[in-house]
Amino acid sequence: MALTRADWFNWLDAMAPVVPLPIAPEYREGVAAQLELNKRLIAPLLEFEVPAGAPEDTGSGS
Amino acid sequence: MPVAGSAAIVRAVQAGETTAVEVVDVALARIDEREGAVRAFTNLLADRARTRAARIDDRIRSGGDPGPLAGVPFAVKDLFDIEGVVTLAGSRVLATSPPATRSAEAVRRLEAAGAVLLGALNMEEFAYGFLTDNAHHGRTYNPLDGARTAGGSSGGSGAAVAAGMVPLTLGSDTNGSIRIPASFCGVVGMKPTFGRVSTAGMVPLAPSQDHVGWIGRTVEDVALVWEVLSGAPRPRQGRRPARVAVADDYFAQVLTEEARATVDRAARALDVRDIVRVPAPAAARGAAYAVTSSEASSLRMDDLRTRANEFDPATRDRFLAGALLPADWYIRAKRFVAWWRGAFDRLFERADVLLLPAAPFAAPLFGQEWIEIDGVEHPVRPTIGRFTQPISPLGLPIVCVPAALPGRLPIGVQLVGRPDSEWLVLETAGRLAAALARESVSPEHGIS
Repeated sequence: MALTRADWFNWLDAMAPVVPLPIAPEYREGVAAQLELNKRLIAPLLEFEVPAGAPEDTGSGS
Repeated sequence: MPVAGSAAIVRAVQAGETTAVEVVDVALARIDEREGAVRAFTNLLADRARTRAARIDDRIRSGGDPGPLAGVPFAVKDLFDIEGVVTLAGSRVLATSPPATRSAEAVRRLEAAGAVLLGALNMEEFAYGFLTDNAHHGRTYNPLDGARTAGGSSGGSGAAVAAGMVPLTLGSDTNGSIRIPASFCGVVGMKPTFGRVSTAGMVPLAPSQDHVGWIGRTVEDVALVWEVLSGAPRPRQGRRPARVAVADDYFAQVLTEEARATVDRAARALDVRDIVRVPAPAAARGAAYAVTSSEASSLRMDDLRTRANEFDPATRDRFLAGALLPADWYIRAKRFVAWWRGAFDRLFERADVLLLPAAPFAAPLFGQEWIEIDGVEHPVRPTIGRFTQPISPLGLPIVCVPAALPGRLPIGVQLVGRPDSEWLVLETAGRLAAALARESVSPEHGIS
């Protein structure tokens, strides 16, 4: 499902108070645009299925 | 007059042909001449440098060992602690912090080897970006074309070397922050295997991908730094040359004709005959992005809550957005990297060193938002790291060598080795630089 800018504003408005992370009104547009960009760049990762039996991250040497 | 290369300075100072103080004065004169147009420095420590240089000269006069970097002037990205100086990391947020009580480990090691610190260099705020268009400290201009960026986030580090102000700079590389400025400025950049050079005293961006890196005029110069920082002895000459393979598919797409020609030129120079396909590169880039966003924002959370208005507007949006990413994305990224490490290792069964483009295009103009590649418009800022980001989470040793066609804006290539193969990568980089230099010699940089 294609997300719209309004969806990113909804995410921002829902998540920020929970974190909590106050986001001033004048920053909302830029942050929503950045969330959209983040999702676009991270999407190939989210669509990729790591093969079963792959090693787990050991938290070192990355 | 540009400052000579590190190796040449060491030879001259150790032989008594010049003094460390004289070398510092040449560097300061060059900085005075070019800094107004380049804006590489955020803090020039001229008196400190002259004092330290005089100590090197005293040591030589008294018959002592001045060290393997005797008299080499260097400068560091403004995220390395310098004793007695406030470390800004390109930000106003840290401006009220107390001065560092101890220099960063990498700085201390270079100084102990006889190098002379001249000052701190401009950067993207908290090393988060590729342009060095800093709202607080201004732009760093590309010395080869002042309308263009020097790259980032270690933009001051690339520009200071390219402008001939210092022959050596330290920077950091989390997603390409050494490799991009090296590529855009036509100088040599190196990052070692993750963890091999201590990041102690360096302001972090994303600790699981942060590397200390450095930039020099020549491959020999960056090799000298690796020797000092690692303590690893140079291997004897005469080893079998590395088997080099070039990557196709993702790494041969979305790059300008100039960047493609740069890779082709490097492949010819190294007589590359093998082609490999890197598995899942777009997912790898996504993983690097998720890890960086999450870790960077987590580190700055307190400041984001209380003083977001003090951040550079360009990085503020990235930090705030990164703080809202689902934890699942970060965990998926870590799981992916654990798998990808093994998949990538298998490429090294066929080759010792991989040849990849460093950047999809030459340094863009300041303010340029889009670039046309193969008839398609791409946003400049998010596209710059296309070839450096995917491999960043693996922490592999990489040397970036300028390889553009003569007369063109510089573009570099990445030479990527398996973990702990720094000397093999450096030897390959030296072979490449020598082959390219035979084709064409630039009086300014030695390599076109």
